[in-house]
Amino acid sequence: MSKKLAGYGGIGIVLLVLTLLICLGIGSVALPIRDIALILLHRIPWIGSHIDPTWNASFEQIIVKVRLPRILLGMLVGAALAVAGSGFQGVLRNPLADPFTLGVSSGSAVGASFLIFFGLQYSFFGGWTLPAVAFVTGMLTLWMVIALARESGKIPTNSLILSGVVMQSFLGAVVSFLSAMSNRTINEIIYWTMGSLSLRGWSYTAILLPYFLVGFAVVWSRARALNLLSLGERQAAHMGMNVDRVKLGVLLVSTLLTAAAVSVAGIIGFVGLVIPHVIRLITGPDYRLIVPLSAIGGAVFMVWADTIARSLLAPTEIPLGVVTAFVGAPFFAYLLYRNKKQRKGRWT
Amino acid sequence: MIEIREAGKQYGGITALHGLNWSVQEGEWWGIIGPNGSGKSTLLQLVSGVEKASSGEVLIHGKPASAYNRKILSRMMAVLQQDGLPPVHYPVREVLEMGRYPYQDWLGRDEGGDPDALIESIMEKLQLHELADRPLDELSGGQRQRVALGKVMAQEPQILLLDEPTTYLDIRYQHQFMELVAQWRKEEGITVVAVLHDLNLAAQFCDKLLVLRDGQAVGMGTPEDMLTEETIRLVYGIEPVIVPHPVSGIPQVLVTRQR
Repeated sequence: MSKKLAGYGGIGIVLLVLTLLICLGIGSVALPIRDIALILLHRIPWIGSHIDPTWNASFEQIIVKVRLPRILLGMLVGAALAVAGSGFQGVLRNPLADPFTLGVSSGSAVGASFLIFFGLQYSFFGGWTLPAVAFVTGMLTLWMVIALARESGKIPTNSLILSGVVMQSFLGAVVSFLSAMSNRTINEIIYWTMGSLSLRGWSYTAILLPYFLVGFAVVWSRARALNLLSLGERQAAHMGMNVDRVKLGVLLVSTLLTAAAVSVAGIIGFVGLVIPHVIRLITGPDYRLIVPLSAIGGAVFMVWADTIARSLLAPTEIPLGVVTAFVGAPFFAYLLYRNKKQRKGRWT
Repeated sequence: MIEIREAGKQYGGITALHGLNWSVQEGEWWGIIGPNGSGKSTLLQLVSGVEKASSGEVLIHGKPASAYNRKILSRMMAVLQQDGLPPVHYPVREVLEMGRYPYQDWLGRDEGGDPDALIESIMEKLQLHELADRPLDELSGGQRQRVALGKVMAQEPQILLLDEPTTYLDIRYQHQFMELVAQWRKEEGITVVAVLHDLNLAAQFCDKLLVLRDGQAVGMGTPEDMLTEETIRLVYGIEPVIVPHPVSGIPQVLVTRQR
């Protein structure tokens, strides 16, 4: 297992670094990869002092002030959503669960929109207010979706997706209503519904980072429990697992990850669905691999999606949620189709 | 080892078990028999500690089963269900390793010795070597049940609870499965409690039988004492003939058609 993790993880890290170097260079001003690498190395203490600055000083400004914070934030958002998705899929033992399809993203967005609408986003706890409120409304939404879908103790795939869609459309309408009511803040709320990473400085990264680190550590530490859970809840209980505590814990933390990501970048669909699945197809069903590799995969995917979003029709930006939906929705359809074909499913 | 005092269980308004008294000594192999809905599986759930008795007590080593920390209890007691393992995509070796869960700390380190050697010896015993890297969903029902047995062996319990473990197996795998449990008991001295539908299988493998009907004990004792025409007629409402097995002499149940 650890050999496999090192192998796949190594490949993942290489992809992540390549993504960083290439995507930093793409934009209104194209930058050479060599300069990017040198500028980044120069910033690293100890190594940096050995490198002479031979590059154009304005390049450094573009990278450090504009592109780097955006790309790092994208990595964090993508990783958070993908880890949340793997957590939801593991606990609900449902291949179609993800922050977006479960309505958790929309739920978090409603909380965020209310704050923005009333201009309260920095009251109470400063920069932490938005994620906290988004977490509460996201959790409420998840609770309602599961309560709506539950049939005599079980949560069938179809009714889970249905109740997720119901909640999503209702909450989406609430957000649209709020944005229609408000003249002043209309653009900002619209951001939430479509997802965007533009004009987010370093402070957003600083808010998201601790949420991500804690959430990732908790979900990963529960990976063996999630493996056990795929044998059935009763089996897991017979093997000494406290099933209810693990389920509640992972659901809470996955919701927290979602809420934190949504509160800095808005609703970005399907990342949490697609990434854990692709990883599962490559590595098999072991959550000890799926969770960390999803984090890397989500980061890579999100940065490329954002690069497409900002450069394809430049200077116009395509909303990020639109780009991920172009990839994610067909994939979702494919999963539905495959799930229909093999009811019992081998996806675990 | 297992002590049951006046244990009862209600689900909603329905009483599944009425004040049962029963005790299991170390090293015994008990079979629990009785018709559908007689409370067999309920009793097993109470012993396993997953469900709590509505009245009375279920004691494991003198302590209520439901009061144990689940991890500690799982080091002592393993449960094998009739549907065994679902057709997941995990390879056989990893499923066996999952049996070590109650011994692992939060980082996944084993606190109970050398798990690799243990898994090797289990695969040896159950002839799972050639299946070690095959995913579970490619195995037959009989093979999967053997993996399920391997997983509970990895748990190294003192008590093994079996809930109709042979239901979905053909007659060859039924006997192979029971022989493997018998061999395990001989080597490790474990205590076995098995809910069984097949009376003849129960007679051949169990030292003692507990006969349940409508949530109450009709009797408990050796297969010779329990498998009488009178008891079978009373409990199952069928017309039985009891004959000694021509080779071993153990009582076997035949059924006469009613017209």
